[in-house]
Amino acid sequence: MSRITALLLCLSMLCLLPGPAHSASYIEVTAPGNRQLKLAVVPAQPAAGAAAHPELANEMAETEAFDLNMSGLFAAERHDAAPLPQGLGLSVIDYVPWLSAGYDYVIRGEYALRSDGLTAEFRLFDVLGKKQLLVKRYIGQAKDLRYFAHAFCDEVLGTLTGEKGAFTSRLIYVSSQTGHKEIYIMDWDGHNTQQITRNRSITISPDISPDGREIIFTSYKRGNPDLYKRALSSTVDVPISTRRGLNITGAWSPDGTKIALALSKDGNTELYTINRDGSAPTRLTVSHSANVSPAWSPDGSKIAFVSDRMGRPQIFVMDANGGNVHRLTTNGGSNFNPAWSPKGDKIAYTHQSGSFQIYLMNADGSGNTQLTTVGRNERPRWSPDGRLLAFSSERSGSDSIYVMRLDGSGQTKVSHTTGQNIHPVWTPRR
Amino acid sequence: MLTLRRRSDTWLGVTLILSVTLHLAAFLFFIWLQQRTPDLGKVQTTYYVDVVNLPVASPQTGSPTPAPAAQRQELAAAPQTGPSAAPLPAAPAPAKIEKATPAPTGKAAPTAAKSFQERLAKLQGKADAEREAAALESLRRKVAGGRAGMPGARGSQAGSDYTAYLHSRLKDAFRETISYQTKAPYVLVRLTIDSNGRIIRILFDHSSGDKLFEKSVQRAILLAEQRIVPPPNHSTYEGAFVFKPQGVAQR
Repeated sequence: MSRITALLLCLSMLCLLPGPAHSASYIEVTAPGNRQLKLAVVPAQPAAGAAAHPELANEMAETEAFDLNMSGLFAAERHDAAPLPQGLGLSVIDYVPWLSAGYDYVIRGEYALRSDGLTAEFRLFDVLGKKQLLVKRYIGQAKDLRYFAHAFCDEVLGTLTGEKGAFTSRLIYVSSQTGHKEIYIMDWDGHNTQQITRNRSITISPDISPDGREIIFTSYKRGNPDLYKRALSSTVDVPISTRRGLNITGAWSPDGTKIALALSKDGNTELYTINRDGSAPTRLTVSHSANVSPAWSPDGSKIAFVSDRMGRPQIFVMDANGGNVHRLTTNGGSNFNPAWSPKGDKIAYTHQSGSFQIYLMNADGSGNTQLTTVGRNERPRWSPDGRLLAFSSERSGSDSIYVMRLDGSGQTKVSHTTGQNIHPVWTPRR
Repeated sequence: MLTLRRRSDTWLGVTLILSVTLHLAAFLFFIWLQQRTPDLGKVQTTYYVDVVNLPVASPQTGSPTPAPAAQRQELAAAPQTGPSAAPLPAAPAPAKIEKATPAPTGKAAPTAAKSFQERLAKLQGKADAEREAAALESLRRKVAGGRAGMPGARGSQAGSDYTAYLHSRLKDAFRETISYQTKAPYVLVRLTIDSNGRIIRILFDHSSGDKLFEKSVQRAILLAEQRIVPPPNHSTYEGAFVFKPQGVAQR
């Protein structure tokens, strides 16, 4: 007993000791606003002994400036400067002109286009710190030059923010430019568009596997809206759910082992999960109303979905096994197209109350924020880094794919194909 | 049978005479000695004066500092005022010594006394006003023409409140670099500045995890370093600061 008392006494004495050094008082230093970092992108110069191709250098510089501007963190601009006399590797950067011009960072590069391909090297310099922060060299073909620029911008964001960008991601979407709704893929900024399906039918609701190798979509090519799977490297559609009735709004689980979708094989449209080969359907919802558009939370533990069980379509959330259902949206009108953010803290969705607009809310349904105001806007989808949202909008006449930041700023049309362009989905980073 | 026997003591008289003689001799010796010793006068009390810590007129205002020569002339010209910058409460004016007047008699006596009191009050008020005006004028000249800052400083050092000075420089620099990507970022930083004004250590105690914000704080410190002067007295300074966007509460 006496030992315990002594121990308690010692502990209480320890509690009375002064705290660690960091418990000292800190003097508050504050500043208003959130400044955009000013960044100059100098067109790359030809490497020693390489021929000059200014069009390549300009395209890479403009791609980098566009990417970094869209991140919202930078005020990036192309800025011509005299080439470094001894090349990028041996020359010493003179920071003074950049500092006096108010730049925070500078990107310089050099390239060499030869018969065997394109080599490009980019460097990021901190003007104030007078030091080099990042060096990357890319080797490939001439057609890869935009990819090189996107990849370097991913690295720039990684270096300065701790989280890489998603500029090497691509967008899968549905376009009717051929007269049929087919699936296409393009760079996130709208370049390098390629057609994926040629079903001459209605093909909608694409989604991509977490590894970025396969897509699923609903096609009416056999008359019934069935769910198909296709490897991006293949031209063969593999049917994975051809059950009677609707096989729609398929969504790949974050671990890639399951697919959630809406089936009406039993009459009412209900949510199910199936294995990636279409086997073992497991029913998740039981109601007398339609349940569609499942969206997995990033950890795969929950599914948000749309149901009109309370009248108008509203967004609900449930556990991945179908339990613990509760309603998220309570802001009136109709709410649909939920998309869970990569970090799991937000859900983007479409709200219809007169017009169709994109909204953002916390994962618990609180904090609704309207992001779009012009035209009809639908189907928001998150970029892999959670910094951007892609959506379709018909504000310019026909439906097109747009991209914006999370605060609704920087709304930019990125699809340039004719016809209707809808249902955007981001691929993982390349 | 008791028989009284008469005894004759002849030595008593001799002893008495001898004693009187000796006492008299001693008395005379002291008188003689007194007369031989010189007169020293009154004994002086000794006082010790501490010349290092001289007493001041008003201890709560601090020790007076030596004024420059020009200022000394000004002060000499000006009426006597207290050494502090803050005006001292006016001391009571010395009452003028009036000639003793015979006590008034009859009805005129109260009127004359009242008149005398009024005149005395006016004189006192006038003297006070002149003294106050002179003190203010002296201070005004001192502020307009004198040098501000630490006594004995060379003008290349910050004042005694170096923390406030550094805070101001950091804030200016932070305004030029602030950038963040999360809602309520903050960074707790400890800075150590050497006697030459160089930041020799930047220690991030804690951060909300916004790397972009951390970099903007680093850049602000780097920018501020280019503009700061050394700490006072060539000492090493260590301070702790929390950086955050204005109007954002720290969680």
